[in-house]
Amino acid sequence: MSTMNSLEEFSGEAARIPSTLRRELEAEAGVPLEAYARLDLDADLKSYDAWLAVAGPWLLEARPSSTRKWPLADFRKAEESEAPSLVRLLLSDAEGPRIGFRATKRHRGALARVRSLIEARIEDPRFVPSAKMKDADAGYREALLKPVLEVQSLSKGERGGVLSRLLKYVKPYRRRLLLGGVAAFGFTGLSLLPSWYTGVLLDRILKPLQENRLGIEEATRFGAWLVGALAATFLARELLAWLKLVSIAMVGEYVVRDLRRDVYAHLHKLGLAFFSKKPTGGLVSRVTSDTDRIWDFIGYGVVEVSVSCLMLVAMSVMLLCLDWRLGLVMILPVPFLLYALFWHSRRMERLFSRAWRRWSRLTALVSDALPGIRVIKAFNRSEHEVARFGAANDAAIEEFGRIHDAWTRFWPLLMMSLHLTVLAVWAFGLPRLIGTSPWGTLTPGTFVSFLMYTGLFVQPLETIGQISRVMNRATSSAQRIFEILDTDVGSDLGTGRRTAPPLQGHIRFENVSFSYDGIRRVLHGIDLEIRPGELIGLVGPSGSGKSTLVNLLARFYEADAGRILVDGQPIDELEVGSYRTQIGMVLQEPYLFHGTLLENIRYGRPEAPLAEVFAAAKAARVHDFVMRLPMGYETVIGERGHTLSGGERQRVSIARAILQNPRILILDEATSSVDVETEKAIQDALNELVRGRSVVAIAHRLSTLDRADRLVVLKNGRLVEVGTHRELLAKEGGEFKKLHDLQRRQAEIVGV
Amino acid sequence: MDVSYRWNAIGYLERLVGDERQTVRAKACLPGREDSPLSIRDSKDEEIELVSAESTLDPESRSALARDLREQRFSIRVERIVEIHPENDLRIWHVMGLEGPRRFVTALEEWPLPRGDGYSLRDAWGDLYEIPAWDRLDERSQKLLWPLLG
Ligand SMILES: Nc1ncnc2c1ncn2[C@@H]1O[C@H](COP(=O)(O)OP(=O)(O)O)[C@@H](O)[C@H]1O
Ligand SMILES: [Mg+2]
Repeated sequence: MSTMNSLEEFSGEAARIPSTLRRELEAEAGVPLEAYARLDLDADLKSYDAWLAVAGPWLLEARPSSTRKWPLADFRKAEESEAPSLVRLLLSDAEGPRIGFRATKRHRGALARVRSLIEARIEDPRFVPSAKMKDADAGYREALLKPVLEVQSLSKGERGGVLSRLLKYVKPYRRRLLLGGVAAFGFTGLSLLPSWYTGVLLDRILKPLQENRLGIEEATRFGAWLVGALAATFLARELLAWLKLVSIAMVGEYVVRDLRRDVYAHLHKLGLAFFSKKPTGGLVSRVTSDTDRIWDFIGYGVVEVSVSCLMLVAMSVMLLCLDWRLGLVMILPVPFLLYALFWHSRRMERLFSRAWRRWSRLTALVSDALPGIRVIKAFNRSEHEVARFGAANDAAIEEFGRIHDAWTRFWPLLMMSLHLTVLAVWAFGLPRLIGTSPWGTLTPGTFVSFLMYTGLFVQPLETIGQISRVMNRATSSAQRIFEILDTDVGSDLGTGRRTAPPLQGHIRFENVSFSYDGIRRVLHGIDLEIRPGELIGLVGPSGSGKSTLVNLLARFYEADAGRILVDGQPIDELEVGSYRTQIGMVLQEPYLFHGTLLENIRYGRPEAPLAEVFAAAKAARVHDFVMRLPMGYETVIGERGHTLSGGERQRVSIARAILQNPRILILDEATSSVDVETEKAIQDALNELVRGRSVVAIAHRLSTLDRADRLVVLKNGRLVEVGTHRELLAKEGGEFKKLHDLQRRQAEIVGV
Repeated sequence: MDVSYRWNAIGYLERLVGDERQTVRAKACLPGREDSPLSIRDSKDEEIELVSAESTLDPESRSALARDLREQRFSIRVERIVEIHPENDLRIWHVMGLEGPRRFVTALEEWPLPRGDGYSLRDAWGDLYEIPAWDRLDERSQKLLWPLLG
C-alpha cells in the first residue's frame, strides 16, 4: 500500500511493529495488541529502541533484548508532558510516579493513543474500544502520518495512477483534443516549409538563372509562385496555431472545471469529521490553485511539449532527407543540449528556492505590519518598520541578482554551443559546396536551409527543458485533488432514507455514548427526554460534552452506542436533509455568507415571502438596525462588505433561524461572545425564537437560562443533575449550585 | 518550609516540601538563555513557583533542575546532511546525526533558522534539529543546504 511506503520514506520509521516483537508481546499478553508506539529516547536522552503496547489488561514494553509488562490495574494515572522536541509519558500507581517513557516528538500521536487506552482501562478495566477505533497497525500509521498530512495534506500515490486518472477527465473532450493534435501536427509541418522554400529559391531559380539555364521571365513566374506559396504557408500556419490554441486551451479549462465541480460537490458530501481533520485553508487551495496547476499541465505540459518533441523529430527527419551527412552533424549535439538544459533548470530551482525564501520573508513583513498599522503609529515605530522592510527588500534583490546572473551566463553559453553547431555545418558544408570534398557536393540551397533550421532548434529545446518542473507540480496537485475524491463519504451522515415527516419535537436520548476517536469517551450513557415545546438549559464546565451532545442531535456525528429518537423514530433512519431543515441552530460564532442581508436571512428558505422575512427580522430585533443602513436589506455583508457588530451578526442568524421555523432549536452559547448590553437585545430576540419549540440551549452565563423549563447538568460527559432552576439550587453541594455560586461571586467582583 | 528538588529514580523531577513529594517540570521562561528564570509546573501545567538565579537552593536541587532543563532543551544534533529532496510539496531530509541516521520531512516553506552560530530546523512532527555552523559542515552538506538559506 502506498501510505506504508510513504511512512518509511518520510520518517525512516517502520510501518508497523516488527512481527517478531509483536508475536513475543502477544504471547506474553495472551491477547492481540490494541495500540502501540515506538520509544526512541531513554531516560538519559540517548537513542533507544523499544516499543510500548497495550493489549487487554497489560502494558508491555519490548526492547531488542527483553520485554517487560505491567498490569494496567496497577496504575492510577497516565500523564503526558511535552518539551519542545520530546514527549514523556508518566504512569503513576497508588503510591505515586512509577515508570516514565520518552520519545521524540514524531511519536507523540501514537503515544497519545496508548495513553488514551490506558486511561480508559484505568477508569473501566472492561473498557472495549468502539468500532471507530483503528486497529493497532492502522492507528499507529495514522498517528505518525497525520502531522505530515497536515503539512502537505497529501498521501503519496504512484504517479502513473494519477496520470491515467487525469486522462479519464480528458476523455470526454478527446475529439477536441484530436482536432488540436492534428492542428499542432500541421502547424509543425508548416513551420518547416519557409526554410525549405529558401533553399528552393536558391537552387531552382537563382542558380539556374545565373547559369543561364532559366529565362528571366520563367524565373519571375517561378519566384511569384514561391512568394504565393510562402504567403499561403504563413496564413495556414497561423490559422492552425489558432485552432490548436483554442481547442487545447479550452480542453484544459473544461477538464479543470470538471475537476473543480467534482471536488467541490464531493466536499459537501463529506461528514464534518473530515473537516475537523483538515485545515480549511488547504481545502480552499485544493479547489482553486491545485486545479489551476493541472491546467498548466494540460495546456502547457501536454501540448507544448508534444509539439516541441514533434518539431525536433520532424526537423531531424527533414534534415536527414535533405542531406543525411550534414543532418547528422546537426542532430548529434541535440542530446547534449537537452542535458545542459535539464541541468540548468535544476540549478535554477536551487536559486529560486533561496529567492522564494527571501521573497516570502518580504511579503510576510508586509502582511504582518499593515494590519497593525495603528499600533505601529501609536508606538511611533514607522521608521523602524520601513527600515526592516528595506533590509528584507535588499536581501531579496540580492537573490534575484543571482538568478539573473545565472540566466545571463547560461544563455550565451547555450547560444555558443548552437553557434558551434552552425560552425560545424559551415566547416563541413563549405568544402562540399566548393566541390573540394570527397563527401560529394552540396547545393547552396540545401546549405542555406540548414542554416535557417539551426535557428528553429532553440525554442523546442527550451520547452522540453522545463517539463520536469511542470510535471512535478501538476502530478502533486492532481494527487491532492484525488485524495479528496477518494475520501469515503463515510457513515457520518448515516444511511437513513426515510423522509422525515413534520416533527412535533419529542426528543429522547437513550443510553447514548460517543467518542471522536473510538477510545476516549466524550459522552457516557446519556438518558434524557425532552417534551415538545420544552426549553432545556444545558450547563456544565467547558469540555464536558455539551456541544457534542447537540451535534449528535443535529446528526453531525453518529452515536457509538444507544440511540436518539425524535417523535419515536431513531434519527439515523431519517434522511438527513429532511431532518435538518426542521432543526435550527444558533451558534456562538454565527456564520454569515457574503451577500445581502436579505439573502442571509433567507438562507434556509430562499423562497420565503418578504412579509415573513420582515416579521422574522422584527422578532429578531434586526429590522430596526437594518433600516438605518443606507441600503437596507440590500446591504452587502461579509468579506469586503459592510461589517456588522458581533451582536448584530448574531441577531441576523437568529432571524434566519426564526424564518426557517424549525421544530427543534439548538442554541450553543449563542450569547457568549457579546457584552451584557448586546446580550439583552439577543435575549429578547431569542425569547421570540424559542416560543413553541423544543429547545436545547447551552449558555455560559447561567443567568440567561432563567426561563428554562428544566436544566440538565453535564460533567465529564455524564449527566449528573436534571431539574428546575429552583430544584437544583435547593440541592446543597449539587454541581449546579457550585457553578451558580461561582458565577455569582465572579459577577460581584466585576460588579455586573 | 525548605523546598528542594530531586531527580528521581524513574527520571522525573520531584519537588520536596517537608514530607511532601510532587512530580513537577521545570520550564525556562527564556529557553534561549542559560540563566533564564524557571517556572516550576505541576501536572496540570500550572505554575507552582518561579525559580531564578537569586533563589536559595542547595546545589543538588540546582543540578536536578538543570537535568530537567536538558529535556526541554533537547534537540537532535545533525552531523551532516546526506540528502534533501522535494517530493510532492514536502521536503524530505536524510541526515546523519550523533546518534545515527534519521529521516524527516518539512513543509516546503519551513527553512533552517540561524541559531547560535549554526541553524535550527523543525520538522513536520515538531522535532527540533540542530545543524552545525556553516564552516563545520562538509562540502556535500553545504551544497545541499545552500539553497535553503537566505
Ligand atoms: N472534533 C473533535 N474531535 C475530537 N475531540 C473533540 C472534538 N470536538 C470536541 N472534542 C473533545 O470532546 C470533549 C467535549 O467537547 P465539547 O462537546 O465541545 O464540550 P463543551 O461544549 O461542553 O465545552 C472535549 O474534551 C473536546 O476536546
Ligand atoms: Mg461547546
